[in-house]
Amino acid sequence: MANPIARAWRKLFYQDGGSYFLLPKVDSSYPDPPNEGPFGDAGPPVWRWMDRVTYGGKVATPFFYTIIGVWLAVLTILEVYFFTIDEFFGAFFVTVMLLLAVLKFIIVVAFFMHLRFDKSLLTLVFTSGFIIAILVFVIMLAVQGQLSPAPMVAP
Amino acid sequence: MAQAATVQEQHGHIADTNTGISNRKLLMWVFLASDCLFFGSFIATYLVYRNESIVGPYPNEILDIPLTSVSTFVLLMSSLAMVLALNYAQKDQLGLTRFWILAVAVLGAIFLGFQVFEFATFINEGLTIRSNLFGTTFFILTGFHGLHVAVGVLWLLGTAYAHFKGALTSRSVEDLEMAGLYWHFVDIVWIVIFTVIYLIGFSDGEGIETIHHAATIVGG
Repeated sequence: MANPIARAWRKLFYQDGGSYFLLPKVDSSYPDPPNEGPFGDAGPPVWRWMDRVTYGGKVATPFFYTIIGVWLAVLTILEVYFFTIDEFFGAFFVTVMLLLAVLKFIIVVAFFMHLRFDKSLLTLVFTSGFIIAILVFVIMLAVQGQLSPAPMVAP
Repeated sequence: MAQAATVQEQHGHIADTNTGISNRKLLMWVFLASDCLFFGSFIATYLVYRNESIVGPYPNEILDIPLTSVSTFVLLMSSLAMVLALNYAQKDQLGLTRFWILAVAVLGAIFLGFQVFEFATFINEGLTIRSNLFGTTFFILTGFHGLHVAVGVLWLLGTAYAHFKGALTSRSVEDLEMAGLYWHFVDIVWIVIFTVIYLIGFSDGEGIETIHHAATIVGG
């Protein structure tokens, strides 16, 4: 039995057909099914319904986009309403607000910017930049002591 | 089969590149990914200096949530208008495309108007870019976002002008798609700014820890 580390290395980086991340070699090896995008085919039935009514998002109707716009409006109204009752959420207020913002972010990127329906390479490019931005963000806060429970003490 | 043909017609031809994606579109996504870093740095800077101002005005004294909620709504609806413009362009309905492009530009200009009003109000109430750490980080972040919106409005007006001149047809839908990607990105950045700075940061006040820290240094 191969060394687990060697096996993991092979799975991650080898291009012999058995690896997790096969690099596309030619245009036809790039996946472009209707469900390509940030969530693959893992979404709830309502997303599969969206795929059906929009032919994979490529022939979406104005009605479809209007529904997405209404959802964004509803989420914004919810955000502002939750802001007015922040005591109700207590320590979870920040988490709830961030979750709503992330939801709106994903809806715009996935549907208005068509990442859900476009080639997965574009999702990879954008997500890479976004993840690096988050890392910079977290490292900066950590270096400044914002993530530690006790404030920094000057020497 | 007919459905596949319709998809092909609506989506335009597949780009003749190794990736099957047009180089311009790929480059635009790379640019947007790098712009994530640009705004991510400013938002991180804002959070690092959050609650560190030792003189006012503080966020809880000056931020106007109802006003900003309305401007946020306007920007969100401009994103909807943008995607409708692209949709009609893909369907070769040029009249509706022009209408929605102009609608996006007008909504973007309204958002900028809200921002100018907000900045003017803040300055009248004593918050400038040099007043305190809150003022510096706030104006840098929202100012650069406003600059992005202004560039987007000019871009869309240029696109609309080209459209009226007949330069933009259903064959150059990609031009509009690029403008749309940029515009939606500006929208998602504002989604984060609105939540982090306005809704979560509204309760921020005086920098108590900073005052204690300064007092320790002064007192030896």
